[in-house]
Amino acid sequence: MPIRIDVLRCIGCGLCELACSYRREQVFTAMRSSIMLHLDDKRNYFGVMIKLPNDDLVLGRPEGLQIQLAGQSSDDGAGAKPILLREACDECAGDRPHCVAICPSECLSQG
Amino acid sequence: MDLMYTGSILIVDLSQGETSERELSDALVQSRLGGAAINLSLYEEFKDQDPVVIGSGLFTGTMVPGCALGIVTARSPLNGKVMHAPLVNYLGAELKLAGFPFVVLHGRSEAPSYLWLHDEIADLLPAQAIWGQDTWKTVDHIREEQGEERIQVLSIGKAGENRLDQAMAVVDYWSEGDKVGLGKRLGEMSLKAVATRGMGELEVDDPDRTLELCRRAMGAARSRLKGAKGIESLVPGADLGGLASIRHRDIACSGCPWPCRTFVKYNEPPTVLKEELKEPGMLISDVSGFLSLMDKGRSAADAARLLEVCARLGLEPMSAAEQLPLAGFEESKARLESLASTAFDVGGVPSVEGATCAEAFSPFAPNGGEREEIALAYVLGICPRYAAKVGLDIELCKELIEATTGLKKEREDLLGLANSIIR
Repeated sequence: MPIRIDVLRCIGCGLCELACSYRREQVFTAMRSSIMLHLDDKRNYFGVMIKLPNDDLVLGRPEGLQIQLAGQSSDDGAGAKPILLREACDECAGDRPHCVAICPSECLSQG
Repeated sequence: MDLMYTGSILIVDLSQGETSERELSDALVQSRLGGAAINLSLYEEFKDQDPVVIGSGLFTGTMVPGCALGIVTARSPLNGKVMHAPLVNYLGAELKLAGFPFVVLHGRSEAPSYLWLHDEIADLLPAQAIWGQDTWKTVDHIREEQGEERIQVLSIGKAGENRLDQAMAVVDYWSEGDKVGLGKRLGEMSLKAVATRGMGELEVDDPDRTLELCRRAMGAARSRLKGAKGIESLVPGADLGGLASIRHRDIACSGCPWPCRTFVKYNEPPTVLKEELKEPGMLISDVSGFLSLMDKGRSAADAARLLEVCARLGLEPMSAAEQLPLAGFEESKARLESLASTAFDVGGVPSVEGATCAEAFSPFAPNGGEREEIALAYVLGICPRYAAKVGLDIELCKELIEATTGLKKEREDLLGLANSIIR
């Protein structure tokens, strides 16, 4: 089942990044995740993006969800480049996704 | 130490403009674990140089709930005592993952400089371009110069540059936990900022057990927090005036399930969700400072605007608020700007009712919590606010320490360590 994003519930804790990286490499880092927090702290503009298996990106922005097709570039400097180099989300191969399990604000869910 | 820490201890001799590194030994971590306990050991070692020590806790940067904490340990110019101040947001985690879990600063730079920590590299860089600039411009400049939006910055403003007791070190753009004059200490060192971005990894001894314990801790935290959010959850019952009319979103720090900070927008409608104005408002984290500025009948919006002025100037808002006249916003703003250049008697560390271990820790409201639990939180890298709100389950901490590092600690060991930093 796909991971759903309710961006306005996001609290910017970054636990989704840590959980995803941990599942892949069993270390604490935010650098290996298929989900990435976008933070513009001075504007308090933040959301999450997920890399899909076809290399599309789901951009969870405060103003709504958007799909950025593979090969397209972001129009607003949303900082998606690092995630393009990482593995795509496999929804934890059928288990309850680690990012969903750890998310404390129910920003992420499945179904 | 290969588990839960990466990199080494950094020693920065600002007088010589030199940096050196030293191994973070297994023995030191085994005996002191981290955070304020290792900070204090390093402080004692370099005591003759009157150092400022910045460190991270054992759990900082992990999925242990509330583990955002970095810690600064230094002699406070306000009371002459060695004090610990909390660093929140993402700063503690970024410092640790940059490969410098502990940094000792001493001496005085001949010319203004800033320290840039990344990828196990420490660069001491000239700061002439940002000396004289406010903290917001400083953060913008460093992020642009180093090409990274998520760089975390501890910096000083005009008050720190002028080496005044009322100076505050600011985390990114926000007034946070320095109520002990750290801003003055950094100004005395001619150190404009410490900036860091971490891309390292923290290995653990037993990954499966660690994950299970982190999930258990998160479940317990969520059930205790019961959806608490925003600054009203920090100070239940406080009169927050018209906060609702300017509230935008509540946000948490790194790895924390409790969004206890509230971003308010007063330069555009708070309902705006798009990236529009570059500077739409202010994050209220320093709730003691905010409430002080609300005194004398100011609105929440005006208090937030004045909190922004304090943050830009690197001016501790509780001390500054006492110097403000019964006046409108513009006069108060002008007075704050003059206070960043004028020495006055701040009367010591600001007094916050019920502050836990006020003799050792910067008062970072809300306060409360058991003394030993709060002290242990400063060792483990758990935010003292979180520990006060949710409580620190010492038995769970023991299990987490063993799962992550393989070290077996008894309750008495942990309480002894906690007591060693508050004696």
